[in-house]
Parts: sequence; structure tokens; C-alpha cells
Amino acid sequence: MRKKLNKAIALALTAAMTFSMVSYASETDDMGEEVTMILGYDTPSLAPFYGQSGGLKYAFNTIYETLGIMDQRGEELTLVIAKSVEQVDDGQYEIEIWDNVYDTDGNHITAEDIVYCYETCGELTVFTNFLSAYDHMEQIDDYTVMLYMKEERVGALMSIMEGVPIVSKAAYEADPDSYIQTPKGTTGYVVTSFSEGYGFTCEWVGNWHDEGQAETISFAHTVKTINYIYITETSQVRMALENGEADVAYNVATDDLDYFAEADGFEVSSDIDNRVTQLLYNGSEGTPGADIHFRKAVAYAINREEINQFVYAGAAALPNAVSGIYLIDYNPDWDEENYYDYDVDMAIEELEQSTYNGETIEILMSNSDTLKSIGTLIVTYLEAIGITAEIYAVEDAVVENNAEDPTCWDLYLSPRGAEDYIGNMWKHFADQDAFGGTTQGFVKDDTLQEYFETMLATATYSQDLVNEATEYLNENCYVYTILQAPSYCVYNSDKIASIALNYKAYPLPNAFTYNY
Amino acid sequence: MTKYVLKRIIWLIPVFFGIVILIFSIIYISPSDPAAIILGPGSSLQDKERIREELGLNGTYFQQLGNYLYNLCVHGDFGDSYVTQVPVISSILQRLPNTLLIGSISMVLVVICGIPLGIFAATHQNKLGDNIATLAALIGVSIPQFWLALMLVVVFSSKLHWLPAFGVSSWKSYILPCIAVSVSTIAGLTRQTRSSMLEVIRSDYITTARAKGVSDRAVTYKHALPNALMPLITYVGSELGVILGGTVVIETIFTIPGIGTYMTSGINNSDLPVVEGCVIILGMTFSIVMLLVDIAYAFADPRIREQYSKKKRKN
Repeated sequence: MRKKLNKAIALALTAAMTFSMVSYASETDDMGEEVTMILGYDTPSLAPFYGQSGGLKYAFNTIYETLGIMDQRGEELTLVIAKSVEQVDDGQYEIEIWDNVYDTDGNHITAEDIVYCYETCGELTVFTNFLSAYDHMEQIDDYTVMLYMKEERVGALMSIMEGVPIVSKAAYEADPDSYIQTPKGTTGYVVTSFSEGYGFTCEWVGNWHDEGQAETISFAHTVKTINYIYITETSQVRMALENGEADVAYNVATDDLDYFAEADGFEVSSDIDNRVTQLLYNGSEGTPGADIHFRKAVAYAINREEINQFVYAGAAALPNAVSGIYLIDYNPDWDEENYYDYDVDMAIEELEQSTYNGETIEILMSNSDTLKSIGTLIVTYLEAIGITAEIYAVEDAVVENNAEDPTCWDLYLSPRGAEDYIGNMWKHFADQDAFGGTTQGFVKDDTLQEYFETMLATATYSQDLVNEATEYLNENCYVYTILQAPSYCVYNSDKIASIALNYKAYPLPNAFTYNY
Repeated sequence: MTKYVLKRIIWLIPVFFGIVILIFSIIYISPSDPAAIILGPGSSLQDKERIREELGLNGTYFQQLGNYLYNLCVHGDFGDSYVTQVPVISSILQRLPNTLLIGSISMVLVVICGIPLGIFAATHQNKLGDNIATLAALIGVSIPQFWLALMLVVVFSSKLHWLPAFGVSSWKSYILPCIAVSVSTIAGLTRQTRSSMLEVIRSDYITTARAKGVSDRAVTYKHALPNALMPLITYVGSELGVILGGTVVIETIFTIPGIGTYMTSGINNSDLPVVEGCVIILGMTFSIVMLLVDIAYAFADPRIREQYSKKKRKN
């Protein structure tokens, strides 16, 4: 009897294993075999709660899932680990998660884990970008949590839902250091090897998703093995692609793009980056930028089309607002309006009305070749109308320090980004509460602050308000948008049919279409 | 002799503290802000202040230095990276072997190539062999390391596909980096050896040895070379510092996960614990090498050995 029982158990186990192998095999039948992607940053840690430093931001969604995500640009929130979200009060949301979420080690994810992850990240300043509106979270039952926000803000719920990686509390607390090199997320990709300073490999082992989950590009799985390698030297990036040691790279040198565009076996994909290069004026008292006529003179003097042609061969976008063109509330009608279109005569006329007395204008920027090229052109344009300017390029490590000093610069050329709403882009320079009572450009403007606050508050937000606020900002010209740069991705076209990007224009090798 | 070695070891302690305090002070007065790096551009003043508070950057110079020295000396804790929160010591221990391996292999190459070439040039002075060796050494000394590294990659990796261009996937990955690092030092050692040997070869005792019928080989290797070794030992020891410093560039070019790339990323991110940790490790490594050089002096030069010998001749 016992022998028969053991035999039956053995048969059942074999059947189960065979079935799972067949299921796994059939699931992986149409997946690519392997892809190698170059990261331009070293990634010493893959741990979930240290922020997305280095190259981790490019591999984050390969390893970790979140409650929800903006899957593609301009879209609303797509639920991932969350099954439903229901607003119960102002700034209070009941979130139910799926009951079958497991990490790659088989740990079951429940509401307790969700609360743990959010409470942990909520105390870390590195998560401020995502959790600035987050207050706290409470567990209601095994699969339901209650989210409490400090304030209802446009885009805040999306930021909160997509900012926190979800891991098992028990597994993480048992061995937090192991997550530095072998994290256990819920995407179905497990890190099978990690070499500090060199790279890491993720392999598909299957995830918890069933037919109920929404299909997302961010958490797709079209390839079995993803190798990430760090190469910061651009000449080596080219070598690696040419030698077949890597299949895709986003940090190819600009000079090499033409080569790859014409080379057999390669394709160059182009998209518009999230970050917008903007010129911020120093409006502190006694500076030329405090005078609106000076600000307008500078704006009219700059030939954005020519900068686009010279620096990006015409591939950049030219938003006619302090905004990226893919933001949810970017108004396409703005493209038809005059946004200080290049006009030397108008520039001179504005300058003559200003109090500019011939002093040299300092243009602060970080020490990047691209920004210096743009800055050099701006200097030329300003000289053409009688403004003497010079570039003040400093290392990334000190540029923000210099930006805090009103005696250090007159114009600040800097790329800034936001992924969802214009109000969140304004946060980077306009929030007078965040910059000690003035904007980042040392301007105190109560109307601007009011527009900023009402644009972010869900109770007062509307497209009409955004239009009005944008018009006010444009009229006062506290910030001038130069362009929105393109981003390029070079890939092996023999292996990869087409690439996929996330809402930040980062390549997603887990979602590419492969030629297998 | 033991007293000599112990004395040199004890001198390492003030060297250690000197390195730590000097580097800490330099980074302390630098204008960079780790909080701004971590949070990115356009971050609010409050967030930056919170980060600075979390990282302990708001204390006075002496408070921060004291905390750092206490953690380092009492707990052996180099701190956590500001950017990744990974303990610096664990990253260093993972990366140090790669850097030391490149440095060691390069030094071996330097010695086994530089000294024989220098001897050859000296013993064939003003002949064709000497001219070729001298010219090669001059070229080797003049070529920038980073340029040589890139050329090696272009030729041996990109064109010939003989060797990998980056990474440390196999033993072949170390060939090009070691060559790139060692060429200029080989050239310098060749010139130094030639010069030292020529100085010694003109000595009276060499003339005497030749007059006594000693073979050229014995004159060169038994009489001349030991006396020419002292400046060569000094040169080799000091060049190790150059090699360790050169690995910063070489590791970046060849994407080798070593101390060099770690320190570079630390500098770019104003990551004080990383920079401090790397400089301390490299500085102490160099100090230990110089200690070994000093010990080697004692073995190479009987006069130094005699000076520190327990039994002194009584007059």
C-alpha cells in the first residue's frame, strides 16, 4: 500500500514538473535567447531602497515591479501589482493588490510587504522625487492597503504608485545585503550573476502574472537572458557593438551615430528625451535678468532652429513652453504660437528698453560638450545684439552649488525633466517654498507661486489653468525653453527587430522584438 | 635588521594618518555637494538639507574628521557610499584584486623587460643595439598611456579580434591593459638601467676584474649589476605608484572593475567615503611597497645591512 502511495506521489510530482516545464517551454518558445545592453554608469548596488543610482535606473523595471506605472508617455497610470485603486477621501486611497504576487524566490507578497516597502522608502530622501506627497500607508487586510497622502496633487498618485519597488519584507529583512547583488523582485527576471564594476545578468524564470493582469511594455518579457555591462568610455561602446560583445547601447558617441546608421547589421533608433534644455534667468535685484526687457531681448536673440540644426542635426523638438512635448497637459496649440521666435530687431528693441549696461553676462552650465556647444551659440547670438556673454562651465558635482549663489551667474543653462504634468516640471525652478522664498532664479512672484500651487492641486487643476499659467510664465520669461534633445539607441538589427522604450525614453530590452 | 624593519613599519602610522587627514581636508573644502548629486538638478533646499543631515555633513570640520577617524580606526569602517549606501570596504575588497593583479603583472613585465634591455644597451654602448634600444625607450616614455591603450584596442581587438576590448572575462582580458600600463615604465627602467650600468662599468673594480680575466658575462652580472641595483630598486618602487595611479585611466578605457574606476565615480559624485577609502588603500599599498623597497636596499647593499646589524665591529 505504501509502495503504491509513493508511486502515485512520484507520478503526480513528475506530471506536475513536466506540465510546468512544458508550460515554461511553451511560454519561452517565442522569447529571444539573449541580449547584451551597455549601461553608461557603474551600478554597485541593485538593492531596492537605495534609489535608482547609476545604471540601475535602466534596469530597474527588469528586476522590480511597482504598484502601478506610467507605461508609455502621456498615458495614465497602468496598474501592475495593484488590482484596483479607489479614492475614499481627499488624499486617501484604498489599494487592493493581486493575491497571487510572488517574488522570484517564491515569497508571497501581501499587503504587509507593500506597507513595509512604502514606509521604508517614505523615510528616505532619495525617494523624494516620487514620494513628496506621500504621508503614510496602513494595512487593511491581507491584500488591501490604505494610502494617505499629504495633499492631493496632480500626478502625485502616479508618482507614489510607480516609485517604490516591491519586495518581500521577510526576505529582505532576513538578508538585506544579499539584495545588493542578487535582489528578489517580482518581475520574473532573477539576477543570476553580478560582477561589481563589470555588469550583471538577469534570466527569466517566470512570473506570477496570469490573464487578469494588464499587459505592459515596462514589464514585458520577450527575451530569456539580459546581460547588462558597464562601459563608460564611448570608444569602447563602439568597439563592443562592432565586435558583437554588446547588442544595444544608448550612450553611443554622437560622432559614431552616422557610422552605425550606415553600417550593415545596425539600426539607430531616435526618440525625444524627457529632459528639456532650459535657460533660467537670474532675477535677483540689481542683475540684468531682473529686467523683463533684458529677458525678452535674450529670448528673441536666440535662434532655436539653428541650435537644433547645428547641435542635433534638426532632430530635437522645440517646445513652445516651459514643458516637454510629451507631457500630458502640453497643449499642441502652443506650437502655432510665437514663442519668442528668433527676431534680432525685436531683441535689439527690447534691449534698448532694458537697463543692461554692457556688463558681461555669465552663463552657468555643467561641463558637458553638448551644453557648451549650445552655450557657445547663445554667446554668439547675444553678441550680435550687443550683449557680452561668456560661458561658465563647471563640473556636475558643483553646478548646483553655484546655482544657489546669486552672484555666480546671470543665465543658467540646464536640462530638466518631468514625465507627467507641467506643474511637476515647474517644481524644478518655480516652487518658492522649496528655494527659500524665491524661485531658483531668485524671483519673488506671488502670482507665479499661486499658479504653481493651483496647477498642482487636483481640486483646482484644469487644462485652462495650465494654459493660463503657461501664458503668464511665457510673458514674464523667467525661464526660456531652448529645446528638447533627441536620444538615440544603436542596436544590432540582425538580432533585434525593433526596440521598446519606457516613458523616460530608456531602452527596455525585456520588451524588444527579437528576430528569433 | 629587525630593528630597521620595525622602525620603518612604525613610520607607516603617521603616514596613514597624514593621508587620511590630508584627503579628508581637501574634499571637505571642495565646493561640491553630495546632496545635489544624489538628488539631481532642481532639487529643493529642504531636500538637500535633509540629505546633508542624513549623511552627517552638517557637523564642523573637526566633528566630521573625528567621526571618520573613530569609525576607521576603531571599527575598520570606511563608511558607506553616499550614492549607493554600499559599504566602501566591501566594494574595495571586491575591486582591489583586479587593480593589484594589473599592477603586479605590469611590474613583473617592467622588471623582466626593462632591466635586460637596459643591460643590453649599456653593454653595446654606441652600437646599433644601443641606438635601437635607446630610441625605443624614448618612444615608450613619450607615448601617452591612454593613447597607447586605445591603439592596442583598435589593433588587437577591433581589427585582429585576438583579444577582448574590455572587461575581465578571462586571462586574455589582462593582456592589453598590462601592456598599456607597463610600456612607459619599461622604457623608463631601460633608460635608468643603461645609465646606472654605464656609471658602474667605468669603475676601477670593473677594470680590475677585466684585467684579472673575468668573463664579460661575469663582469656584467656578478660585479656591475649588483652595484647598479640601488637606483633601479628605487625607480621600480616609485614607479609602482605611477602604475597604480595609471590604472585609473586604463581601468576606465578597458572597463575593468578596479579601484581606479571606483575612485573616478566617487570623485564625479563627490562621494567622500569612496574617494577617501580608495586613496587610503592606494596610499597604504604604496607605503608598504616603499617599505619593501627599503628592506630590499638592506639585502642589496651590504653597507646598509651592516649598519643595522646587531653585532657591530669594534674599533
